[in-house]
Amino acid sequence: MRVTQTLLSDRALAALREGLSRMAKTQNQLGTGRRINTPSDDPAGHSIATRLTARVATLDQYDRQATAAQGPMMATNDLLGSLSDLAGRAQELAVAGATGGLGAGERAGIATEVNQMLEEVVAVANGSEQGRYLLGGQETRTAPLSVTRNVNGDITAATWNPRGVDGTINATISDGVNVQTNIGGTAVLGADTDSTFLPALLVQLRDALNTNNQAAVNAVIDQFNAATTRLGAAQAQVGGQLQAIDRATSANDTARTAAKAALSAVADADVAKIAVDLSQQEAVYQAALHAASQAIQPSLLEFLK
Amino acid sequence: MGAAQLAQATVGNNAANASTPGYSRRRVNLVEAPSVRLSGGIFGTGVQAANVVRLRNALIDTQRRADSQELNYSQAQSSILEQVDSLLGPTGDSGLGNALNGLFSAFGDLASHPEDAATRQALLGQGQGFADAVRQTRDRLVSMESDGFASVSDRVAEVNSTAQRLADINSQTLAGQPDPSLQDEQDRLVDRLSELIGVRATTRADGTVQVVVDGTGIQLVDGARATALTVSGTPTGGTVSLSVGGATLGNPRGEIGGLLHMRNSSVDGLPAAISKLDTLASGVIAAVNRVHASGSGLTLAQSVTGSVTVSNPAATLATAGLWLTPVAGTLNIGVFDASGNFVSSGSVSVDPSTMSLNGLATALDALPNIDASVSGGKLVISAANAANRIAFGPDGSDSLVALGVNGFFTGTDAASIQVSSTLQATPNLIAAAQANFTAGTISPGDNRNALALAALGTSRILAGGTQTPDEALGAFGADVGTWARSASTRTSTQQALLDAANAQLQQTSGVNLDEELADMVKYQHAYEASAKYISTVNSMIDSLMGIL
Repeated sequence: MRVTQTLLSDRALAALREGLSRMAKTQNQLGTGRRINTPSDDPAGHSIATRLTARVATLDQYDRQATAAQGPMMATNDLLGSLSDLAGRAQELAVAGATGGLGAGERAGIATEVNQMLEEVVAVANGSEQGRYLLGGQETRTAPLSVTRNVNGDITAATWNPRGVDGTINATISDGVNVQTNIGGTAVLGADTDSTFLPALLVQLRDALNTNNQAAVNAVIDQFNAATTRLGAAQAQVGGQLQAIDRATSANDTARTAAKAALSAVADADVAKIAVDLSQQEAVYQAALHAASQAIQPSLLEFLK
Repeated sequence: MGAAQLAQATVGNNAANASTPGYSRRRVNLVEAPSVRLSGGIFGTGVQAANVVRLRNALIDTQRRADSQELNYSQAQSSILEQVDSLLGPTGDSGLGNALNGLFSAFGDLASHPEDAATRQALLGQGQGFADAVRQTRDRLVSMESDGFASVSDRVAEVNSTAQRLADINSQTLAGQPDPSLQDEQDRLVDRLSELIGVRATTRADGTVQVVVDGTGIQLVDGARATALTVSGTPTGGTVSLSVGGATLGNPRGEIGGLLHMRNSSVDGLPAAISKLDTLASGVIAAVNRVHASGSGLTLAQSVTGSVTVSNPAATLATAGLWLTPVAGTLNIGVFDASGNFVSSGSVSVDPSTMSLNGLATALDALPNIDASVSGGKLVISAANAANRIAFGPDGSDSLVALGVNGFFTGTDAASIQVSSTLQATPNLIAAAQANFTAGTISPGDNRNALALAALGTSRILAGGTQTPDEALGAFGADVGTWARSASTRTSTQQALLDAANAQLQQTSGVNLDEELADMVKYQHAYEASAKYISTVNSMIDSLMGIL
């Protein structure tokens, strides 16, 4: 074949161009740490990476909802603990008040303590966390319990928010896992018309003690059992919800680790391999440069002196 | 000696043009001068230069041009697709995918904190971020369309001036002698036309070149006449077409062909990318608005106006040209007072094949405590009592979505998507809750609608219920990536073919300096020999004269 200088330099340039563009691509991968920098680098891989990135974002979002739910749930758990304590102590006071041989003065003394507990129960039941009433159901901005007081300022009745306190609030904390993140007021204290509605029991107990009515005090004692049982069930429910959140969070962690590993396998550059590739391409490029300079230079001109 | 000098001049010209693009090596054909018969025998009278010829192979030229037009065709596509490709960029921390994930994540945050103003504000930011990303991507694609149009116009102007120049050379050729440098110029111009639009050239016996657009019989240059190409179409949208003297060019090749393909193709061109993005955006708008429209905010509005304008409110909803066609179903709507107490509720049964927008407004207006009308083609629903508020319930008819009522987004495609300005002005209107008409309540802590909105992120809401948003986005990226990749593969293949053809051309027409130098020495020696001959003859004559 007949070879010309232009042909030689064209070929040398084409080889250099090729080598340089390959190096640019490798360097870009090394610089960004990504194997796929635009969809055309690997169309299918890019699509998978898009889905895996979304998957990680979804799992992160599940965790955010779980974490956001944990605060109020813990507070609810504490609140239920306090109510349970109060109900237990009230029951003890009822038993003490039912003891025969107590005078009107002594019963009135116990009644004062019961009244104090009534105030506490109402205050605790109206507990809030970051401005949200915990036992209000979906009515998080209205205190769930409202009370009526007599001229002495004593509570005579407590009623739930008429718009309802049992609306459930859910959180999506894992794929297809919707858990309730609150507990309805009536599940904790009973409906305000129930005979075992804790505030009503306390009103009843206080009034019986104040009127020194031992029989009436006795009648209340058994009702406390039902109230305490209901509180226990509520605590179990909230505990179960908290556990579900923990389980989901750790399942999310596993899923996220898997998704991230898959994402990394698809989209991330294998730095060691690419560094080797790069130095190899550099060597090839150097060789091409050298060959080009050797091939282009000589012509008969140098020898015709 | 004259012949040797002419040969030497040609060698010099060859060497000087060794790297001139399109230059063809020339040779002086030396022939023996006619011999004379003298007494005693036949004597040669020396050498003469018969002519100077270009060493060129027409077959290689044809092949090379065919390769070059295909290369430029794919190169033009590839360079535009590279831009589209980099527009979609890497996955992860930037771009559309990130904006999409951010949006659904923010709906999830709203579910965690439905009462919180800061969370609502953050959601609006994420929503706007998604809308901006979609619109910017589309704007870039549209500006690529208009860039493509401008490039086509520029290249067409170049085709016209090149064709004109070729016609001028043809007329010069007709007037005078065949001139190797004019022939080179003809070849160069035809090369350029091939790169630009793909042509076939035929050299006539009279030395003129006739050029037709490849694959058609349409003549660009014939003798001394060049016919101009014209571009018709608009910078963006529609189809751009080329015509020559009234005849439309179907699918030209070359750079113009590649640009036109990108500008026009609804399969793998810019219009395809734009329509895919539009479909994605409309799908997300419809899905998000469908859930949002049936929800209620922390506060409610007294009056709600749809964002979609219907040009003919008297036409049935099915035929009114809505971006999304409503279906037969029931639309529920309720009225609450300013403090959130239930007033009344009602429902309208919508049959889009018989009910017009006007009819829908009339039916809504007939419900207790509700006024409805059509104003400027938009549906307006208000509480009859100015102190009351409107709340929407489940809408099985999709009419709220189609008419843009109580939506999270306004707009219908990638060009028009925006977060509703009503929500931006009053973030509390973002519907995290669902009104309960039976119990007569809307609660601030109710996050059911927000959960439903967040769940859209992992639901198959796009492509006819077959793809989740991230799958649809991934498929979009894969499509564009595949187009870009195959265009770039075609480009490298064509480049290799063209390189091979160029190498063949160089074999015939290229200048090898060694050869030229060897020739130079050869002709120098011939010249020296001739000179020596003259000086010998001279000294012989001198000797003769000396004797005398």
